[in-house]
Amino acid sequence: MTFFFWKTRGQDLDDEIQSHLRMAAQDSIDRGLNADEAEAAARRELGNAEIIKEVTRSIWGWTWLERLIQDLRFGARTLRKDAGFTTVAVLTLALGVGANTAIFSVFHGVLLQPLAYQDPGQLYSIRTSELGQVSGGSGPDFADIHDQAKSFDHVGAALPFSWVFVLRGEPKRVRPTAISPDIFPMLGVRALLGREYLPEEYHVDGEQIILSYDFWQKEFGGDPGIIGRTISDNYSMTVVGVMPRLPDFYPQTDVWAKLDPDFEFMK
Amino acid sequence: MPKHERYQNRIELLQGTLDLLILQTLMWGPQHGYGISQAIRSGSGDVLQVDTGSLYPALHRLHKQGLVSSEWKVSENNQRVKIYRLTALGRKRLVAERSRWQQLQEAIGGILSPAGRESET
Repeated sequence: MTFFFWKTRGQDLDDEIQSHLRMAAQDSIDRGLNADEAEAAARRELGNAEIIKEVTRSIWGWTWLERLIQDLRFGARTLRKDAGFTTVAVLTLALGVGANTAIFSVFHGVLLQPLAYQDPGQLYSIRTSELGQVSGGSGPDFADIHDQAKSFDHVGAALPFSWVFVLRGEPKRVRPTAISPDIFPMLGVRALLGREYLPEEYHVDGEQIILSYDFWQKEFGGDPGIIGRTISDNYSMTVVGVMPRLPDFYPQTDVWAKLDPDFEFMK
Repeated sequence: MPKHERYQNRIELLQGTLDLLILQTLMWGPQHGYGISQAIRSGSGDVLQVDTGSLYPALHRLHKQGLVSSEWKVSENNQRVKIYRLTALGRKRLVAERSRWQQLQEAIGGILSPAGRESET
């Protein structure tokens, strides 16, 4: 805006100088000089038009900028003279900025960034505590909450544990997370490949298995033909699906196992 | 040769007097920059030559201070010219500057010929 205004004023000044030149030249012609001589004389009389413009322009503006630069220079000189004060001031600023950035990064990640699931604001984590210690909760507690809680549409349980698979003749520790039937619908996630478990399959121990995205990539090179294959030599489990990455939800999981509601632990 | 002589007889304007001369010239009516310089030159019998490099900065400074106003007009020989006009504030300033100049003149005169002044009064 200022720049535009400035340009107009510059143009205005150009015009003014030009009209001065023309009038001076005209006067010289009237006094008997030829046009070229008149032009040259007028120009000589005017002096260096660019310098005149420059000086006139400085009347109007940029003085604020010059003053600002002077202030900055003065500030820099003062700070240089008092190195101790400068160091303390810079450190204070650095710490302040750093601390704020760190705090905001956490705040942003934890509180502002919504979870990548359906209705993230409606998701709650239920924990039980025993003698002041957070505990994983028991099967019967879960059954009670699942059956009786009126405030939730779904209540699901997830339980990480450990298996040893024999993969292509080699024993390998895998980290399954057993999930109850409500978990995937609650998060609003669908299988990337194949399907999720059918409701009745939760009552059967083993037989089907769903892979996590990372495990599928790492162990099977992302092979799309994985569905229907039996993956371990010691358990006869058929791959029925591959889940996409589930951020912030048991990210270490290799396979998603079924949490059998009829399992003894759950009663 | 007369041209050269005339040039030598020119007197450099005292610091601060250009504003006074411009305001005084505009007292007789609106003028463009070139007209002002011509008026000062001929009014002083070719002794005072306004350097254009001082004139335009001075005009714009006076404009910025609100002592003169300006507008673009078309002159009688059909040229676009920027006309300067004295404002009310400029008129007041002119009166002040004139009396200041008067004082200065008397003061310097007094120093140069103290006896003369007494005999005159």
